[in-house]
Amino acid sequence: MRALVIDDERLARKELINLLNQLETVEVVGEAIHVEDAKEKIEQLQPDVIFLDIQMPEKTGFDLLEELDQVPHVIFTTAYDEYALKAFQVNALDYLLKPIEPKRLEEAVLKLQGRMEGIAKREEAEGLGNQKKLTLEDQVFVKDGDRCWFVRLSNVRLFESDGNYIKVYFENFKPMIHKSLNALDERLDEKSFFRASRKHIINLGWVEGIEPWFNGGLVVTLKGGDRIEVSRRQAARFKEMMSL
Amino acid sequence: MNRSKLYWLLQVLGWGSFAFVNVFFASLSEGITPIQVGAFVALAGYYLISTHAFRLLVKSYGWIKLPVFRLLVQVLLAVSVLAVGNVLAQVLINLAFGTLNPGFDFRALVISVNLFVSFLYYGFWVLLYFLFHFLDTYNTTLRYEAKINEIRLNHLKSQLNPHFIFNALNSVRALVDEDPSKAKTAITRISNMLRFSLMLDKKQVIDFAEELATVKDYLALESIRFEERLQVEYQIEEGAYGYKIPPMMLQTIVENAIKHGISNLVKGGVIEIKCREGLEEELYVQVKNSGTYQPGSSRNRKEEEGHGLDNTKQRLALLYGNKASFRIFNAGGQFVITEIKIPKQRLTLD
Repeated sequence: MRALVIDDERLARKELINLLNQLETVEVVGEAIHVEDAKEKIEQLQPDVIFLDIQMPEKTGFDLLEELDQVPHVIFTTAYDEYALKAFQVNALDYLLKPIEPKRLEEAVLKLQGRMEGIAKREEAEGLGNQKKLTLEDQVFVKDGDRCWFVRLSNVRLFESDGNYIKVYFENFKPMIHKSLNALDERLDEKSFFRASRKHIINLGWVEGIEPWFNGGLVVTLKGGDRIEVSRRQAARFKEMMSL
Repeated sequence: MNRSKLYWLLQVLGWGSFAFVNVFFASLSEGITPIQVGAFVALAGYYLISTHAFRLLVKSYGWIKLPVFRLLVQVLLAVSVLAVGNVLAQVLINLAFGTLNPGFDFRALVISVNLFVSFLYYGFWVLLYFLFHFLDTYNTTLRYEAKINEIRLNHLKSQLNPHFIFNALNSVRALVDEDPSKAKTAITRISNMLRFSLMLDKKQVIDFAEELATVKDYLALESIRFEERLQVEYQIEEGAYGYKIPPMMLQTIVENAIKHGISNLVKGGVIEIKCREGLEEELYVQVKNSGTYQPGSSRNRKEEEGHGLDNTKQRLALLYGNKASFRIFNAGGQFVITEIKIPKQRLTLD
């Protein structure tokens, strides 16, 4: 797998690259020294995985994830940061503590490899190949105060626009991401997600019931009880998609 | 000795000596019969019982907690009632022992003298009782406050920041291959700092030189991490070495300067430490760092941020009262200055 190392300290990068070079399965394709640098290099190098330091000047590792459209696999690295550790443990995110233990690093890489192979197989089966759209298997990074999640899109039932933000509905949470609904709509796979109206994008896998509404519109009920109105213009498209 | 035992001991001793003194003086003036001795002992017994009853009243109605004026009024009232009761009891006792002399004992003058004397006795008892209580409470409060202060100080004492230690160790790991001799120096510095932090457990102040040595180790280690992003300058006046300062205080300020200043700047910056003596036997310690101070604008970790500075302020106040001061401000748009003033003398001694 192709790896990008992101850390503001030269010695920390050097140490991690040394360790990674000892693993046969990993190829370090580059290093980045802060968030802006990392954004460029991710775009340019398309790494499979990033090793990401949390505390960096001006913008943190979490900020980077929030700004990325497509997040590669992430393994966090930190020296000791109670808040970050809590976030990692609660959500079972992969993290390594500096100084990094070579054995822990190897385990993390192995685990990731297993996950990547699983995803590749599924994508092959579904014939998605190298499509650039976000599918149900993809994960998005969301953060709400001290808590953060990597949410699989198949678990997201609804996106709702709220000013300059989008509320992401999954489980009992609805954290916000800083994006426009139009930009998100373009990135989502239209087979799985449907733009119901100016305000809402729904996950078609979560639709439970459909009823007619005024003016030729529709109201869709999602599993869990959310009721979303589909505008008249979109209702026709919706019927088309949902029928045989 | 527990308080209830002490109370009974004082009661018995006090009223016992009352009986003894009365018997003694009576026998001096006109000789005394065993019957009279019995009467005096019975009277002392009555005093003991009545004051004890009064104590039960005070305790069960929580008089101790009353405001002073109300307490005074209630106590005066109670003492008067006790005195009247006592005069009646005296008549009964004399009747029982056959020592009653109606012609003499029922004269208004005798009764009022008796009333007055027993009023004095009860008053004296009450005075002692409340005095003991107030002194005792006052003592406990003082002890409690001293304890609380000590706990607070211990709590406020800064410890080595684990984030720093692990980052330093991580840099050293990389240095082992790159520059072994630099790695060795770094390991020595880390162990110096660890030893220092282990040893300052009980001390409230330490020599300035000791603190400065730790800060120098710390900044040397951070220089390894930040490399060209961190420049350090020292301007220490000779006089500063005559002072004692709270351990880890300068260290905390410098750590803050790194954390909120240098580590947030992609290009890094400067840390300048100036220590000088003031005109009135006080030490000024100033830390200047690149960056901007934005009070209350901490990103999303309110609890953690600013904690170090709050602790520093509280520690200074507990140790030196209003003779010490702390301030932090922006200077010239690109720098933050943190300054503490410490007097030579402390409020409390070890």
